[in-house]
Amino acid sequence: MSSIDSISCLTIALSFWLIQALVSIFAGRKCSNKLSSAFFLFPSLLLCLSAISGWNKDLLVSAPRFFQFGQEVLTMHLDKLSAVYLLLLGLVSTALSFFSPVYMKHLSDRVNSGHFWSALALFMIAMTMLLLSANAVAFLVFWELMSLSSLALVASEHKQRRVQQAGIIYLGATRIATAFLMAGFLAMHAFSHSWVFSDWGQSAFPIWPSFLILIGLCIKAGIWPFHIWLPYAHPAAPSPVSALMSGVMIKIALYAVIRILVSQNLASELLGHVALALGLVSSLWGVLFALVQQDLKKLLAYSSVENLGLILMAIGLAIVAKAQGLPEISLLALSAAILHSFNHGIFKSLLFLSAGAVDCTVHSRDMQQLGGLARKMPLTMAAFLTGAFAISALPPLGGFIGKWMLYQGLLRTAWESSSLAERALGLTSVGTLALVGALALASFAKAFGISFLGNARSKAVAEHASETANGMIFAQIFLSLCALVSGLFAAPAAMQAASVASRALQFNTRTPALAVISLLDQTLYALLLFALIYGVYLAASKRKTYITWECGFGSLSPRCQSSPISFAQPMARIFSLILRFKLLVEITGKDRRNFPEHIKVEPQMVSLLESRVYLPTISWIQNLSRAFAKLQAGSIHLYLLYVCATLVILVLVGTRL
Amino acid sequence: MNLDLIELVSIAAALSAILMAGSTHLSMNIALYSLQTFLLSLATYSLAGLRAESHFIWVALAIVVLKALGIPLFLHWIMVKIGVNSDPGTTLAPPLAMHCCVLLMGLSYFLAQSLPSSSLEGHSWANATAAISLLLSGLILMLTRRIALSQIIGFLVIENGIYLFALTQTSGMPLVVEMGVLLDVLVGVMISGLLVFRIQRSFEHIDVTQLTELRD
Repeated sequence: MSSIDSISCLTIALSFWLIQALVSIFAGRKCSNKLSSAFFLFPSLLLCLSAISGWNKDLLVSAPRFFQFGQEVLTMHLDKLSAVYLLLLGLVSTALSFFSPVYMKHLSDRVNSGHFWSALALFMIAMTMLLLSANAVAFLVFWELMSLSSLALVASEHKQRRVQQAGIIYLGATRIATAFLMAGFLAMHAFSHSWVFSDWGQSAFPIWPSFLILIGLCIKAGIWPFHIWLPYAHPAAPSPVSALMSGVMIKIALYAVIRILVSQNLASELLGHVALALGLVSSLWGVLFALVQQDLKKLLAYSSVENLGLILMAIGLAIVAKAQGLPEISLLALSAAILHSFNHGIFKSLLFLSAGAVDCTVHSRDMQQLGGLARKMPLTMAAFLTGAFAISALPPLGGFIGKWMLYQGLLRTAWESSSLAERALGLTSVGTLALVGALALASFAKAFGISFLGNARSKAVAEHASETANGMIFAQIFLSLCALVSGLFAAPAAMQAASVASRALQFNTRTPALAVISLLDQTLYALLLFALIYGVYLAASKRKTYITWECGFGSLSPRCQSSPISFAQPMARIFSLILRFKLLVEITGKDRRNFPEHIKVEPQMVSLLESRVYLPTISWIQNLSRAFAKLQAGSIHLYLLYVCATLVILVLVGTRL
Repeated sequence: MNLDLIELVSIAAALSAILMAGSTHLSMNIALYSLQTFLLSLATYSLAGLRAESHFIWVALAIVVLKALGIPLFLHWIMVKIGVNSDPGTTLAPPLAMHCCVLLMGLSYFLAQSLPSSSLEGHSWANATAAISLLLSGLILMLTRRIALSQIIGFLVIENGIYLFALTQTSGMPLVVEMGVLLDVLVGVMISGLLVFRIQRSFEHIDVTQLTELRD
């Protein structure tokens, strides 16, 4: 295909979404979900097409003068790096257009479908343009559009108090993120006199603007300690929105780290170390909190914190390695970051969609209520299992390759680096990464086992659960296949990612094919073979049926199964330093020592960061504003006095200067 | 110290504002405002000759018709309608407020001294003093009065001060802008006049010291 094709594809897709945004908002509640989703599907497919056809191109397009922001011409840049993320966006939105109509029908009495589709279309426009924008002004404009449209989507069910709270928290996070980003961009402009990203690499800079930009992007990406908004926003948002936000939006923030900081050479070694450390902490923190969650979507949200931490860690490693003159490790790490972004986008969307499908049929996401869904919803179960396998980085699926390459990078740092401190850091990171991997496996074993296996824990599940509508199933199968394909073709994907990474890192010579990847193929096949043999062995082994001893307490009920809390408890106790996990046990009855009548067990978990840092800060700000509110006494004369005083001061200052 | 006609007129206008700060009779204040505005229109008219700008004549005419006659008559009508004709003042008693204004006129003199000088016709320290003094006297009037009608008059005095400053210290505004400002003031006064009327009807008084409930 010629180069003009992918641009015209994009233009058509964007104009489709623009029309949809305008039309649906006027249609309001009368907006038909099926029609909207058909209208949504077409540009999504075009997005995939443009990403594929623009793969080997490097297109720089200036929009017509009509679209000028201030005095800056809107320049768009489509290269391999943005094409990877465009493809991810296209695939996820394709799945969404099958998933959403059914899901929206389930929400029809609570959510205004016209507003939903309008905000979704705007969200898509913002993300597409954000991936393409090559100058800071356009970037900020679409960044804001992305933040606000996603806020509108998070607050879809805005009549619920929980959703309002989540919306406020998310709004606050986006405001602070934009403030940091804007400060960083303004500083960059002050030093380089240009808004175009590619000019920023030319001149020397002090170090602090890059940190401002990093912080702004990290807040949006949900990196520790700025991840607070994620576990609130995701359970509040409709599932397709969570899928899009967790799958693509937060990755776009890290894409911007690569695009602005790494590929323009703005990242110093210190920044790399900070990124590495933040990534390390947030991966451990995220997975520990994911382990103890009861809400399925909260668990997925914390797991996003973990995975984004891994990606940031890989980016940090790439920066550090490049600064120390270890180009191969740097290349390896950045390819790992890009690959894991793509794969995580696919399977995290898949998991959110499956959680949405469960929520849709059972009307609960609390794992305490679920259980036994495997028999009722076999296809959803299969999709969730695929996603859980992938996110736990089990080999035949997409999640494996990124983590594998990150391990390689860290181990080689430990091996090849000249300084002892770097070696120690590499080894520590490998150790932490292994711990994180194991805990992730545990938390998804919990998510899958508690929700899908065993017997139903509540009446709603036992009676009403059944397989969801075709659209939802299709979306999940589509994404499962994507995860499978990207896992099976991991080696060529890794080669492509390496070529993207080498451009982003500005390595001129084509680095020889990474030795890791040929090794990878063999490992993959060996593991597949192993899995096959194990499966055959399992199928051949005899099955015994017997009755469990009920300890003399009377007949067994579904409540005797292990609960989400009991599953996580041993690990939660080990990490009680961070988790502050406690079980409050209350025993009542006449002879409560030997024959208790009621036993009430309630888990209590306090998030250190929230209780010790954020809440005190917020209450401090509130007190301060209360003190300031006293200025507003309501008296007109007092207000006039303020005006008078301000005027006199201004005149005095103005005449003295 | 020789003052030319424009300076004389604008200083007289500033003095009338100081007298307003000392008077408790609303009808007196409205009359003084009318006089003050008339003086300003006179200044505008004589500047038209000096600067050879013919559109100042039209501005002067509009000021006489709208601000020196129209607005005072409207305010007087409101005053009669409400049935309030004196304003006792709040924390600062009117005589004290008047002395305050005199002091502020001194301050205005010092402020006017530090303004950059220019060879523009009518650009003199006396005119700048008068303009700043008008502005500050208007503020004092708004600050020290109890009846909402006085706040409107104070606002009009401030507006006169700004107008005088713009007229004498800059090379004048285009006719369109001048007319736009005039219209804004007219509409502003109309609306606030009607609001005063409504306040009177709803609360049975127009004492702004008691209107403190609505603040969040």
